[in-house]
Amino acid sequence: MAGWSTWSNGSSLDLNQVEIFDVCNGNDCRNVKDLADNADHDKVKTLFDKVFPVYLKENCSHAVVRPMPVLLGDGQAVDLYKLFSLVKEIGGYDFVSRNGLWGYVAKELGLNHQVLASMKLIFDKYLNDFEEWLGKTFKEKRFRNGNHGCDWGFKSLPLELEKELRSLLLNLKDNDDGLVNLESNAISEYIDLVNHKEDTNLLDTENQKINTYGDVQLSNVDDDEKTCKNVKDDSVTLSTLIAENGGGSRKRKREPLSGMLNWVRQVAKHPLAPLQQTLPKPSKWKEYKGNDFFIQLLRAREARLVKPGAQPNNETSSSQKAKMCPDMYKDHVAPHHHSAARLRCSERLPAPVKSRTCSCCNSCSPNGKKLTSSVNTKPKNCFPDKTTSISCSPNGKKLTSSVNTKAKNCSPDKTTAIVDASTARTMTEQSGEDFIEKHVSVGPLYQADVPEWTGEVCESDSKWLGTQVWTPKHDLDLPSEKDLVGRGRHGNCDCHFKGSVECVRFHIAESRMKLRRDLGSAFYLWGFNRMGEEISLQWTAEDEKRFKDLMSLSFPSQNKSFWSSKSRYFPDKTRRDMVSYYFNAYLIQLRSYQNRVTPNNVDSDEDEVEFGSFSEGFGMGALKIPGSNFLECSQNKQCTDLD
Amino acid sequence: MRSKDKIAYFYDGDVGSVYFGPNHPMKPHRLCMTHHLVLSYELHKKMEIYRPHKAYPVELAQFHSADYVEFLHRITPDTLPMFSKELAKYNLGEDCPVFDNLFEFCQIYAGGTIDAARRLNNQLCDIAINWAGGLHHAKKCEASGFCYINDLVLGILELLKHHARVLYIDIDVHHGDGVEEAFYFTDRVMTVSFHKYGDMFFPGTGDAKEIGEKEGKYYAINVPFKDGIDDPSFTRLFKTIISKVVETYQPGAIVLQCGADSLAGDRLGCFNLSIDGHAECVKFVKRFNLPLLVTGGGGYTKENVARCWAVETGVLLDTVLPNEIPDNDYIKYFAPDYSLKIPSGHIENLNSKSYLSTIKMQVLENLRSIQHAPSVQLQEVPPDFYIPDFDEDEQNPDERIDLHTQDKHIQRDDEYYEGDNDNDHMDIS
Repeated sequence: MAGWSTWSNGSSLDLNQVEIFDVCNGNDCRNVKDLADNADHDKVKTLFDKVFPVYLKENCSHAVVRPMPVLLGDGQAVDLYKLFSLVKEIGGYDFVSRNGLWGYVAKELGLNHQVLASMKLIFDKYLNDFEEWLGKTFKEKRFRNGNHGCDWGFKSLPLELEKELRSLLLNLKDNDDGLVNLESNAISEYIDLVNHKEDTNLLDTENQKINTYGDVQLSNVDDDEKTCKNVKDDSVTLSTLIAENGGGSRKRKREPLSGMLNWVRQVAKHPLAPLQQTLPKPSKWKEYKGNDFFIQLLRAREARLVKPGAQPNNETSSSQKAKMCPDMYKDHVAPHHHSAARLRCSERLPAPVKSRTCSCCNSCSPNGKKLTSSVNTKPKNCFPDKTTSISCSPNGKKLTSSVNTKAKNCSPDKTTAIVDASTARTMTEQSGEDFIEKHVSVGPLYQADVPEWTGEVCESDSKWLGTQVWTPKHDLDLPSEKDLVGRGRHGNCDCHFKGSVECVRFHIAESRMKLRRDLGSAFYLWGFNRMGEEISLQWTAEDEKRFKDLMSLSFPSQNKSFWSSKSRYFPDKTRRDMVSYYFNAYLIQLRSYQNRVTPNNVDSDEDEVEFGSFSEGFGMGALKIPGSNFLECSQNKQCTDLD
Repeated sequence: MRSKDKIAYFYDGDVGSVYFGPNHPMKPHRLCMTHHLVLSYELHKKMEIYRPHKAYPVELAQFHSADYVEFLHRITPDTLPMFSKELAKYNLGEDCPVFDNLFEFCQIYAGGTIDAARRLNNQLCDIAINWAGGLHHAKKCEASGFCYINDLVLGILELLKHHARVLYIDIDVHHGDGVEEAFYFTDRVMTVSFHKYGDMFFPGTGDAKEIGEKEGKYYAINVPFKDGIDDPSFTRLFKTIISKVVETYQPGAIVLQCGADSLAGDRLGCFNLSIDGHAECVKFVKRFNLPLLVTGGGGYTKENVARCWAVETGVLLDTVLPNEIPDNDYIKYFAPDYSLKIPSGHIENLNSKSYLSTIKMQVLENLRSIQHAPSVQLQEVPPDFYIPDFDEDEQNPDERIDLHTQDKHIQRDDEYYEGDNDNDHMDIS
């Protein structure tokens, strides 16, 4: 919390803006390892995030659709800023292309090799033009003579800022530390202008004429009721969200929304540290285009709050309103409005905030789930102090933060603390329970139809009971059978070199033959003939080599197209053959390689693993040992016969 | 007595070649490995093995909405782009990708669980195992958490045809939300889920406060753990709760979901259970001698899944498996020790004693509500249901009738009948 004292003294908005950057430059941001960028990058990123939407808007007018956020071929969101700055850093699009450095770029961005093409395309479609546009506006600006009024529209940007942005982007590498600080004043001015611009030009709400944040704050208190309506109207269609964010609840650990969540987490950790950029007031959220994270957050928030199929007038929506409003007012309460706001708050508190309100999110809002699943940090790490510890939900976090951003005119004295605390309480009771905890969805769309128990047995279909494949042979003499069941590995064998590749291979083949004798036809029914490294015998050495090469070239995880277009590589193999080979031969060989080379670090479940290097004796070579050759060959013949 | 249990084990060789896609943690190939390990230990000599029928869409629609089933049936990776709206609606995509033979895969694992339930219903076996099943997240109208069709719900619905009450137990590290949700309003199914809860762990539901609603109030039990729970705490709490549940609820059959992601070292899990601890729960449930349907579930470290389910197959067969894994085609997956032991977990156990006892008290308190307040359904049993010659029936060797009357008996009167179930089932076996 390094920057507190500074900002508490701040009185003018501009000054505060400056300090936002100062604070950000301090330890707060740097301490958070989650944030991939360092503080300086953050600043430039903020700038970028501001400028880019402006650019997009202009382009949209030319009927060129550039959806945001930008997704790669595999649905991952790509950080345009990172991409842009990295490529610039290396030497530009042409340079990167000429020297085949896209792989490096992808790696630096933590992306798969597989998305190289789409990344390049994105750069071409989004950022090349953007760069051009920057240059263009830069020139235009000269002729326009710096009219900073509202009428300059989107065609141009303030000259100095333009220049500065360019220099920032171009000199990223060299000017990690000093530059941003020096120019933060200008940046903040710029950001103000952009926000201002958005306020005035984009919206036709009654707030159109508000020119300063001070006004916004004041007017917002009066806007409370309207805000409610706005919120109601805000309901986003889930499908949009899903389309944009890749959809799906995530059970896995890797999450595309982690950027946003990190941002939220960061904000929550340092509730009193001003944000790098101001957040708009709720009525403008819909139009807000600045911070990607904030937009994501808003969407997620809306997704969580929207009850699918809820009629606007029913009780659900009213309770929704009741739930949201108090939180939001807090954002904009000017100091002297505290009591009023709190009154309103407390009035709403007893409103029917039954836990059910949020139940919609449980099964109908994939985003809610995504959010839920993606945060893997423990709350105890996130919330160092009392004020923040209450706001666990993403919304809560955001709101807490904006309380403090917006309340920048008052010093963090007792009064604020009280407000915070009451906000906090509000949120514990509401968001704390409703947002974070998902509840069981109820309704005909969720529950199974369970008939009443009448005491009479309904006939269970006895036709479909499965086909018996195997019966234990009770006619065998039992004592010896008992002996056999559950037997472990033989301790000893008569092989010359115990534990050698040949020995192991021999015993595997031996137990396999035995199993086949035991099982008879079941052996094939269960696909044992398609199990084990033996599968590789159905592959030619050439095919195997190609498979391995392809794998090591581009690991399967990064090469979805490899699996789908395998027919191009292996015209005579079915997908099943491929998968079978992958698990039965490739992975096992990989595993035995790992067993030998890195026995303490084996992981055949991670698709990313790769052979370090192939030794000569690896794979087929080992298979073709004289002793077991005939065994495998005869088996192989049978396999193909009976397949 | 127990060793004579008739075990039906379901396996279809086709599941192993199902591939969710690159980098997807769910690898059905683990089923192949499990089966292979089971056979390497020669456990097949003690049980019947069945190939399940492929469940028909109409069977799947017993729980799922017809349009969802139809969509699953229709969609292929090639037609994906045409259905982006539906994909979003049904939550297909990243976590639940559409892959080749998706529907066939669902048919197989759901068919396995349904067949298992039917075999139990028809008293053709005492314990049925379907490691391919147990996909407990799937919802009525959408996929969730790698699960498309909720075979458990389908299996339980099948069991409900013969049993007044079915107990569902879930020891997957994730909350069994799909099953809980499906039976949230009914007292005919009690769902008990032991899982990791908090830190927004998937799926986010499963607080101890969720106890069911309407008739189903108090018939959903959630036992939320924090990270790193270990064998002693887990099994102790499991045994306390489950024994109390069985005593109170008197289920006619039990469905046990044995998700192996609660093991230490799982790719997605965060518990510290050893295979022995995990299997201990299975052993405990088996001891009730009730018709038992055992399914798989999660489990994302393939070789540990295979180890765990092989050991548990052994447990159900009353066979202790030797620690050294016999030579088999997949032996290399079990390096470096080639044993059934898995490395113990290193995740810090965040479950304090007081936390665990709070949870326990809360659960037991809710259970008491069942004892004290007979549920609506119990009162709604039609009068003609009381068969006067009840006592005669009880002596009747025809187990099917006996089972029903037993159910009726308990329906009528909410008291605890000591040992009823045990006796009945000992007769069967």
